Amino acid sequence: MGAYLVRRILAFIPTLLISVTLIFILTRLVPGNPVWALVGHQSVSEEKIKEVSHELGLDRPVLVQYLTWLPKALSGDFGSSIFFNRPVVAVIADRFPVTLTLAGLAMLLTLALAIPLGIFAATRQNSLVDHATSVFSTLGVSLPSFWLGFLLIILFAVTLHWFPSSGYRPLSMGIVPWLSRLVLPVIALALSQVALLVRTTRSSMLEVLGMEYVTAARAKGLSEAKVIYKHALRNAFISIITVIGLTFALSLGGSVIIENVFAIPGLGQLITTAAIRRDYPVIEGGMMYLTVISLAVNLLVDISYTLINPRVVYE
Amino acid sequence: MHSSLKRTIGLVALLCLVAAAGLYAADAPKKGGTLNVGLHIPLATLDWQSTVSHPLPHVMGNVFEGLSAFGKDFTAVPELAESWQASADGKVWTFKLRKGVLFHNLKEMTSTDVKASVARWLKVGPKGPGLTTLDRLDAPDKYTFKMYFKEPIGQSLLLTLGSDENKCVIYPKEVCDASPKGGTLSAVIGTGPYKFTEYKEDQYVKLTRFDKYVPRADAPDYQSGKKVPYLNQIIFWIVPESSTRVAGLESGDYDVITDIPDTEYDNLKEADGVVPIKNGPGILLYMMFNHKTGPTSNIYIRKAIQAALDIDEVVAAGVPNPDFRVLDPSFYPPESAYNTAVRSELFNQSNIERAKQYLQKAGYADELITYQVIATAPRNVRVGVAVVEQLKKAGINAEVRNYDLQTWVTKRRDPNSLMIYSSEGYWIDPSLYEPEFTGTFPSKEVAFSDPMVDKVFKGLAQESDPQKRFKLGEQLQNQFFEKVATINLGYAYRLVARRDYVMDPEGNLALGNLTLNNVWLNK
Repeated sequence: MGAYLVRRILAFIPTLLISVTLIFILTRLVPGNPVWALVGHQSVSEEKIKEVSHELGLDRPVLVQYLTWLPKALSGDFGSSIFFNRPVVAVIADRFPVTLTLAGLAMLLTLALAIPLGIFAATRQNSLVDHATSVFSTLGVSLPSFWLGFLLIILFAVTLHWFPSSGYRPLSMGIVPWLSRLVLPVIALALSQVALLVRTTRSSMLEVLGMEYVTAARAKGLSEAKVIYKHALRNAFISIITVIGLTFALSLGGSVIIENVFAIPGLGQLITTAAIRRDYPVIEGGMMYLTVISLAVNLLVDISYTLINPRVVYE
Repeated sequence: MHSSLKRTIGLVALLCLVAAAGLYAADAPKKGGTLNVGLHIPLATLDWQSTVSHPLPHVMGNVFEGLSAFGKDFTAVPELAESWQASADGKVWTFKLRKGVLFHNLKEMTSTDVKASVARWLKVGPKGPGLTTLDRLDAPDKYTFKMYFKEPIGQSLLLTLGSDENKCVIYPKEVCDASPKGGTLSAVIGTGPYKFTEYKEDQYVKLTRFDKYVPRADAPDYQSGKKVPYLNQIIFWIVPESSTRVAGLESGDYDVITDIPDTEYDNLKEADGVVPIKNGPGILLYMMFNHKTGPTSNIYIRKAIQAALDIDEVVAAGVPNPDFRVLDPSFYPPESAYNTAVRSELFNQSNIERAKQYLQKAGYADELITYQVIATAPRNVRVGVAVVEQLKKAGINAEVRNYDLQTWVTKRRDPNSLMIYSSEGYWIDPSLYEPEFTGTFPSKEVAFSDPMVDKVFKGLAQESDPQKRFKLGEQLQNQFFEKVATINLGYAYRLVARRDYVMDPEGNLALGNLTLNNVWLNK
């Protein structure tokens, strides 16, 4: 296992090197220039644009820019944001807790709803509850999250006045201001995740419940709860944990749509705004962060397989 | 008189007095409260001298002030200047400064600060370098500031200095010295009615009342006059989605919201406690060309386009709510003193036959003519689609190209890519068109240039007499139509909205950028 981990972590290095190079090249290939967003694009002279480009070092050949940037980037220094005038790492560190909170709460809600519902639907296949769960999960997957977000705002903020319509307050301002602004975005984000996980849980459980060892367990006279929760769920969890890992990794990258709809200053909003304004250091730092998160979560998911099922051995 | 009757009359009189006092109290402006504003985009920088980028004027217009500003009629009025005078030859402008004006750090503003600020704006500001005939600046005494020019310059100087796009705002000299580069300020210190408190990137900007603010004595006049800061605090929340801003206003999370699609007007009108406001001046929707290369460099192709367009239909596509659009042939908005009908016969011709004749004269051989639009600006896209459909009817092989803003900006500078693009803005004074029609904008390779137009701009720069300037404005419009330098596609008005307890007796919210002096809360 130890050797496997070392191999996996070493494999991160070429992956990261290829990623940073691709990210750098792609950001420079896309037409546009942060100078336009900084100075404005109306009635601005060409001389002014050249002057600001020079100040930002954007008039140097791309290869020179890359070779200056690469060693620093690999050591985690992506430079300073053109618009925020402070290190990209600090900007990302500011947004990370916001996205982590949103993603974490959405995942907790997802797990609390999806796994019991999925098991319930699988153990009562073709019942009314199973059909209702199928309808719910199909709706959850199909409904666009921006639409659901607006629906929640109109119902719970505008009509019922139960929650604020948008915005974010840090926990330091109090638990009520913090939580009240997260309820609607968490629900909006969690719904599609719940729908996906319910389907995965149900189908995995159905597959496992049909296996011979489950029949044998039942024949041995084990209680139904023991059969389901001790024997069936443990095996079904391999595919469930894969979906959880992927969903969580995606959420940690920031939900662009949910963050925009609810005006939440998370990583999704940061990277989108940076892309619109061509804030190269933030785009590069943000994409690098996403790459690392994806690699790390994938590794954690792989490790979790061995914990769930001891028969899985990495050599 | 019977004593009970006397008592009744006395009681009624007393009640009337109490009611009147109550009414007066309800109407009398009062200090206090926090105004929550839902703003549509994040700020690119806090340094107004260095940018024309929106929405900075909405925020910093309440923090910073300049020598001149816009009044209600959108003419230049004194702000930090007490008065100004041009020398007889128009080469020296003398500004007498107001005494006792304090910066937010409680230091008095003097001519030293003005000289340092103007010098910095000339260097870092997109508009500053436009004053090409400037010779030198001088601060002969504490309250006098002088600008010396190599050639005469007229009222256009005041418009350039006070432009609410890239205003020449006055910072303390220490800030100017410590902030040589544009885009960054060592400290955000102005002289305005509200002082900057905090900026949380992409989240909010907080301003608080500047209790030591020294207002002018003259009547309130939009960005100038007697500006009273009634609010304890203003928080500009960054809320990118317009539907979220609207919901936030309806739920009471925001007190004022900006940049709302005009299609929301009826919805807002019906909402409880919400007041939608039509905000002017009219914004000109206009079409620009590649004048140097490709099919649109041929004047007859441009004339064909001008002849083909049914502007009524184009502006209706761009601005669905009829109350928020105006069909006006002038290149100066209906609110401008320069609005004129000169050459209006060339506007909104909707004449396909004439267009075809021009195409024949141009030797048009079905070349593709592309029209680039900003994909994230729905109005821009709708206008583009409507124009292209009309051009097709005239036999022009036209096509819409959708780009994100940055790509759109890059492509419009590229002579191999640009043919037509449309944009929007307002030009209250003819001289404000100069940067875009003197051969450099959006790039030298595509820009419009014409000696006759240059001559008109020179006249506008030097002339101060209103009647002569009006004539020059007419000449410029004549040239624009005649040479098809650009095409007027109609006017759009902006929609902002407030809660009904937000009191705005001066009507500032109906004018240009958010100017929140004299605005108070009646809660």
